[in-house]
Amino acid sequence: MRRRLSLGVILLILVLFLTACNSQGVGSLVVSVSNQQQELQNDIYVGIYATDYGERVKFGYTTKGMVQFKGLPTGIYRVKVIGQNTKKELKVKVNTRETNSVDVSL
Amino acid sequence: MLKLKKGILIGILLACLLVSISLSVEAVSAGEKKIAKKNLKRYINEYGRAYLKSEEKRRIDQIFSDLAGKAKLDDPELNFKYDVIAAPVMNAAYLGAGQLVIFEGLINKVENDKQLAAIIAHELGHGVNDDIQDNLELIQTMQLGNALIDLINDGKINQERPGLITTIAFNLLQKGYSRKQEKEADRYSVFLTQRAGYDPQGTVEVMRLLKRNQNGPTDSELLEVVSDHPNLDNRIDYLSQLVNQLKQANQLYNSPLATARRFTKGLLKEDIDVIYDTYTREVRKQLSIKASQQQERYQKVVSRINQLENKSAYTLQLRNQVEGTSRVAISLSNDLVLAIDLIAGKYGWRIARGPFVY
Repeated sequence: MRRRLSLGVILLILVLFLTACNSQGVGSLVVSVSNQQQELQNDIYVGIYATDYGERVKFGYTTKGMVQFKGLPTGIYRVKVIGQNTKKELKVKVNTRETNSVDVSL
Repeated sequence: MLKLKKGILIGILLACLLVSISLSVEAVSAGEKKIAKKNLKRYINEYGRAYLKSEEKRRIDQIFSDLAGKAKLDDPELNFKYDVIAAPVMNAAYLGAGQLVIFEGLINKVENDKQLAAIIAHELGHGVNDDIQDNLELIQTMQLGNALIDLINDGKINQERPGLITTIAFNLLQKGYSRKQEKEADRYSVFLTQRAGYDPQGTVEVMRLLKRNQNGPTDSELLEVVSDHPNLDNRIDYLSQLVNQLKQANQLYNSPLATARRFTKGLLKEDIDVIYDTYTREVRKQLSIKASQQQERYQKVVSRINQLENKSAYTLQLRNQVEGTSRVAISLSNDLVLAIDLIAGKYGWRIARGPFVY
């Protein structure tokens, strides 16, 4: 009886351990976009992608020169910034429980 | 010594069970490829390939390639192909690893291209949704779990009755699971037919046709449509509902500006139902209609609109459009210009973010 109980406990611990390993934290990312004269730019597309560009995670367009993405799982992302006839791509790291900021000059 | 051996065995099985649950697998596993090949061979040996006139073959090739080309965008690792089997049943089946079989009975019975497209799209849906692989993984996990139960109970794996618990549990699970998979494939067929340029009404028509032909030739092994599928009346109901929703969405939300116009009209009339419908399903999942109305951002915008002298004039401007998304500016006055971000989805263009005040 005791043996079965301990086996059950081991199984439970393993399941909890695996669940904990699979879970990850989240952070925020603020992208500010300006032109070469340092003027903030509106209506610029900002896309957040998995590192291999396979999947777009989130997107937004700038208002008052910036766009904020909340609740991004911690990790490294590729960011596409696309305006009228201009385009820039960069890599950013999002840390847990932090508001990570990136300034982009188009 | 014996206890230690048993303990190690349980440990190994536990590890395998947990790893099989937590690990993701490649798009098409070797197991799935084998099963697809074996079943195709079985059908060909039993019924043979159907002889089709070149005109008929060209027609099916065209429909298949239209649909498979679009389905491949959803799962680029699958190479879809099909064979026509000389069996009189009115059906088609997905065998795994991109392989479909269409039975001659189906080709003879369908009344038009949209009905044939609906059935092919349904089977492609099983491929895109990885249904065969999911079932395979479930069987493997259940087999490991059964061995573990045997070991804990009497210290050895029972080989004479290897799967009584497993078989019952699996059958129960699979029945529920399969119905869910079938419903998903049905839903997928509606969207895929539309994307490939076929009328999604074909999905409803073909269900009605299946219902009319329920007493036709059957073969329980071949009849994918009947045994584990949701009831045909039920399928006709939910497919009709989905097709109607889609048609309505196509009319109301067929461009970023059309959606922005509907949103703005809702905003000016403070009609929260209209406003709420212009948002994506994801947004609506996160926020109830009541919660969205109570949002500070919404209240702020409404209060600014209420201060306007002319509450009926507005202009819309498409400011940017990138990769199936767009930014629309809504000018309500010189002082009040709003921005919304939209995305093209299954139900037309919907708002994903906003409104923001410029």
